[in-house]
Amino acid sequence: MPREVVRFRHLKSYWPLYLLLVPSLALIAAFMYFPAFSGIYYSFFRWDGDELATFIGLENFHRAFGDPRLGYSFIVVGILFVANLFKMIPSIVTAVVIHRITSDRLRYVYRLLFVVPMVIPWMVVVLIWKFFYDPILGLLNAVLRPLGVLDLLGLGPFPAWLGEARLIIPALIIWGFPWIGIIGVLIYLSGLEKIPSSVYECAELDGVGWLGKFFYIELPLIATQVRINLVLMIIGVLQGFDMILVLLGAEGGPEGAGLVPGLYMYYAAFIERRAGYACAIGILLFFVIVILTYINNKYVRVET
Amino acid sequence: MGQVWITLRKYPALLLLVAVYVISSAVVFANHMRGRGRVGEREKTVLRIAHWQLEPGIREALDWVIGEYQELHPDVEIRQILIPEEGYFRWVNTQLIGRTAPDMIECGLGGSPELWRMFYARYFLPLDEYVDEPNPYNQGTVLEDVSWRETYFDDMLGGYEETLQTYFRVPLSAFTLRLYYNADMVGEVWDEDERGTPFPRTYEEFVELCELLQEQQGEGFVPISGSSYSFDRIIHVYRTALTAGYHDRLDTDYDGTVSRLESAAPLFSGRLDMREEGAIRATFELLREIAEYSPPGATAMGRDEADFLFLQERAAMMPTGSWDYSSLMERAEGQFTLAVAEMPLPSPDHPRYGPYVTGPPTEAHTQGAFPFAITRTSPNADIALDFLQFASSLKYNEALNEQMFWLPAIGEAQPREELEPFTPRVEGYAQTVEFEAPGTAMSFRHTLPVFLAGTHDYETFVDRYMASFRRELPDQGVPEHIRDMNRTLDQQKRYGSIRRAAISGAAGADAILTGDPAEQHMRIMEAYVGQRASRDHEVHTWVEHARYYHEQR
Amino acid sequence: MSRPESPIARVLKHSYLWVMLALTFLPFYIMLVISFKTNTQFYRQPWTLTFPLHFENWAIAWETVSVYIANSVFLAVTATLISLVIAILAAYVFGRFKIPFGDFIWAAILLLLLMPGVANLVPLFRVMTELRLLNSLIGLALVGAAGGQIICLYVLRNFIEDMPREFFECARIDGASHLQQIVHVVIPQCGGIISTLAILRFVGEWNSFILPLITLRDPDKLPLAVGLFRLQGAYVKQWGPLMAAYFISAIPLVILFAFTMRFFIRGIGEGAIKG
Repeated sequence: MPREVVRFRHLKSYWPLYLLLVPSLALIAAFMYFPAFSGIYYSFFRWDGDELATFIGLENFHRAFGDPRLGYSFIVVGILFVANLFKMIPSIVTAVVIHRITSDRLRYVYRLLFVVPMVIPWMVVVLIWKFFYDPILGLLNAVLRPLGVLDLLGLGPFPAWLGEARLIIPALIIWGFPWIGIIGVLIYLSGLEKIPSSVYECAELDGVGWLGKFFYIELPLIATQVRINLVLMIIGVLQGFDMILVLLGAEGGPEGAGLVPGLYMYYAAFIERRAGYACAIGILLFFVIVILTYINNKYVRVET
Repeated sequence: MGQVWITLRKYPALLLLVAVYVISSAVVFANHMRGRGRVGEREKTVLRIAHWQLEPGIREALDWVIGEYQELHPDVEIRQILIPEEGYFRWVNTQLIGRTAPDMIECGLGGSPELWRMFYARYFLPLDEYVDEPNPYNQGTVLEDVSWRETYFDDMLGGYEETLQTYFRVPLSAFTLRLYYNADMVGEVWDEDERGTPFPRTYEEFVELCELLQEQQGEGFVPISGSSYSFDRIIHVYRTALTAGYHDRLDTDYDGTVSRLESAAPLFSGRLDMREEGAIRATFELLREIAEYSPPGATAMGRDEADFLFLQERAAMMPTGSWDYSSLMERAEGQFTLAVAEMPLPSPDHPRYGPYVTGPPTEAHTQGAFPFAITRTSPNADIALDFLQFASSLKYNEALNEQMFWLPAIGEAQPREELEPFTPRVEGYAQTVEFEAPGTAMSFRHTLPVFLAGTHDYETFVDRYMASFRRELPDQGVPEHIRDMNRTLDQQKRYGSIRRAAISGAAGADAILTGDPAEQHMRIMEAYVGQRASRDHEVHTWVEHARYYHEQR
Repeated sequence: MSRPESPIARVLKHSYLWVMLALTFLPFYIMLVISFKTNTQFYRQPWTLTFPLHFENWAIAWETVSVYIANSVFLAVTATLISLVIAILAAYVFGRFKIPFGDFIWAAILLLLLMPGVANLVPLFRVMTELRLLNSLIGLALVGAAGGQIICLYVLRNFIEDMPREFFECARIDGASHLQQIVHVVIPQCGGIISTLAILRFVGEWNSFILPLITLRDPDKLPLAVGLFRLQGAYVKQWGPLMAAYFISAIPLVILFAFTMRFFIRGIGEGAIKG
């Protein structure tokens, strides 16, 4: 549907259109663009977040590049990113399994059932997980101990998942098990539903098995949806530090094992009062997200 | 309108949502109005007081004092804001930056002493002009004519900010640290008749007790319950006991205390090498030994989790302060006998630690705690001050602390009898080495737990921790401090002693004083400016503080 | 799928889904079971029901979280309303017309999709200080709407672009203004996707945490997420009331979803295809 072209000379009668944009743009300008630019501005300052700011040129960036803690935080986020790639699988599998249920009615019921857990507020989910990880009261140890997994890994009877540096990354990876993101599942399902049944029929004539169908039909045809979820995931992983803040505290746990860049920025700004440095970290983070999104768009090709 | 109604009826969810939204908005609006003090026909002045004491009973006790105060001043309403310890500093910090800070804030938790000092200078009201006047609420008592400062058991030292030489805080209570233990459990393996004492007196015996308990109770049990919270506190005990000998070496300005910078500077410059100093190494090794008898990952556990282990009798001992007494007592009742002891120190014969042990840390410098400062942005600073005077008056401070089961801050006030084991022990040594330096708090929190968990040895710990010293301290002005220390020492000492003389009214102090007190204060501030000249934004701070103080006059 | 599937495959599929469902429903079970316990019951026998059931836990919990729920509802609905209204207005312009500078503005808006909100946290706090929006739910709603409208705008524009032009032409001939066209054409035609976006925004705001955490001062202004976070920081945890509070805080969304589930499941699909 082509859009109606409004030229300069028509503006006399069309200027109210700009009025319709005003509320939207005003909010964007005030709460997104202005902070973004002032963030760039302040990244060149030693700034305490209040009114004391001293221009120091590129010192914040210079410092950031030599800061081992920041470097480590990007490694953590990298590990979480890779782990999250794998954590996308259960959602895809679940969507495919639901899709392959033959009864229309049951398909709907399953979808409905999977949406229900979405009503648990996010904070409750995090707090419940925190409680799962509790060394003595927690469900995780209670389940793993009788299975002999803890002894097998040499963790002792009461490993503190959030209290030992080496266990923190595993804990963050286990977090959210069984890793079914319902929004993701619904998005995949929308893609799967577009697959014409003729495709399946052809495949069956060729004797393609259930696994083959998955790799040759379903996965390629939901590539668009995978990409959408991938973008959401990248942004979520790189930005999201709230979960880690709740689970591990502002310092990211012992040895800072769970310190991600977002959390480090938060710590620098609101606890150490190095807001200028925090702004510099924010800018670095922005560039990383842009680069990753660019790679995603360029190399995760979608044939439509 | 009718049409809207018809549409709404078609969508019950929407109708419900609208209804809920309207109710919620009403609640939000009502809270908003109450927050501004508009309730009923009478307009009230609303003050807010923020603190982190979520221990059971504290809120109620404070509410009681507030209630008493409001009865005297019916047009005032004081509201408590309770913030959990974890996020307390961050919360205060953002409130101060945002100029939305409550009128009264409990001070000192989290961040670093440097940041708090900066907060006092920039955001809090100096109380100097009030501390030498009597507290009006003491009228009719023995303290009627005594200055507010002198009504305190510590001469209000808990409210005094040494570096800024100004009073900022009003303490309402006092705390000491003890080791709580499950007397039934300890009694099973520790025969009082045979040993002569109900609880180990020396660290050696203490370790023996831990072993015995471990043996007796088996798996799933740890002798000492601990958390990051309790470790912060036992570090202080053992560090002081083992490193008190450094005092004369580190107190470079001869003021009788070793400040954080006095301790950080030699660690930074290498004059005090953590790897070489036997006493420091012994301190950390002892801590690691204690960590072995504590739950795994204890340093990352929360205070409530430590409480839980102890109360569930999965641990026999727990170090914490007098502030936890009533809540632990209450929860242990009917389950086991709760008893209190001092943290046992190694005897001089201990093969490893013996040579370094001097003695326990003194509690003579126990200062007023639960300290509140008044924010400058408060539109009702006068009321806030009045309330804090009310709460620190003899009558109400005694009653308040009686309800809280805490030690009162006012000298004449009587503590509860049950708190007898917490009476400050005067004889002992002052703290010397402080391992956390400006800017290294996060590193310390990161590296220490790993060392305590036994993941790597002392050398690696020191290397990793000192790396953060080299990284952070230059940015925190420590090298400049070392350089400037000598230059400004004389000046600082002179003004410092003058100021102290003036405060304490020492004989002949007036003779030394030249000019009026405000001018004196200006000079002291200038001395600091000179000392920290390299830190331009901090200078701004001090100058601003000085200027503000001047305007007040 | 014509071929009759084998019974084994069927059992496998269903059992897989049931196991997954059981796992995702586990938190519900845990909240429910623990919410009826006293601490002693909980320590002795944490994972199964114990008697007597302590219903008073729920009363205590309700007293604690009801204010938070009111704040959360107010915040989430206000922010959702604002973001949808302004997004519809702007999407109408971008979806129907090619105005001078329109492409430039559009690009500038889209760039924001990439912008990590986190990176701006510190200066945003400063802006809110200057505008005196701290410690205010309205302020939070405005900021939430500013960020949340972008994805709405993006999706809605695609929908409006795909609408047949005749709809608008008819309205215009009847002399409808832009606003009237939006009310009478756009909103009815895009009702499905608008309600889906509304739910998504609502859930997003319902879960917002960091900004309320750092900007709110008064305890009676806290939304659920921050309120619960503070609750769990208390020393003496009463697990029963705490879990009951968690459960209660899920109820408003349960109600919302119960009525709108159908819309939502369909809408997400449509949105994902267009978007």
